[in-house]
Amino acid sequence: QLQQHSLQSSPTTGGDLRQFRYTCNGAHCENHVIAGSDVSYLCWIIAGINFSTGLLYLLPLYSLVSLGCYGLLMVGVGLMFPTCPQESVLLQKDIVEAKEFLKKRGVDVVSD
Amino acid sequence: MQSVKVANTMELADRAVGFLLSFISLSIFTYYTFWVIILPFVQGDHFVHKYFLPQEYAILIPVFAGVTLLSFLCVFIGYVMLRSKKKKA
Repeated sequence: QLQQHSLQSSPTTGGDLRQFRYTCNGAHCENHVIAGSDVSYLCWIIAGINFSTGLLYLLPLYSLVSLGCYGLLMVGVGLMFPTCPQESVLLQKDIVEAKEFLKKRGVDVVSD
Repeated sequence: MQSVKVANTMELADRAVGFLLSFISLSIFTYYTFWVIILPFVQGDHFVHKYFLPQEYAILIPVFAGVTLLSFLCVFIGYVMLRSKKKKA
């Protein structure tokens, strides 16, 4: 169905955004506009996948979620393979000290 | 001797918590990756689509979790501040 495509850069939407138009083979003429960056154009050419822009808009949220997952994973791995046993004892002592200090200053931190 | 035993059980609990955390994070990551990145390229009538919620929830659930986390933090800080003020008065 892709008869021809022409590359037009639109000056109003910025340097990266290009608009592609291709016309259908049928009796009616349809103009489809795919907007995307250079990467999506390349993927469209190479793999023939119709790269929907909805996927592009999900990427920031996806990177946030994966960053949170990575942090959790590092904490879990650090808990599973302990490297400094003395430091953990010192850390517990530091926590007790901090609680005493805060209690003296008047802030009541909830203790389990 | 007693302190060594206590340290070992604490270490075991730590390891269990660590394993649970890493398992949860890995499962969330793979499910979310599948949901957001791979599923849009799968045909509409494939059988895997019934194992995943509709795509709107892929946005709603992380946003909802983030909002819950932020509000919990604010509530905790306010609660600690109120309690310390009440104790001083």
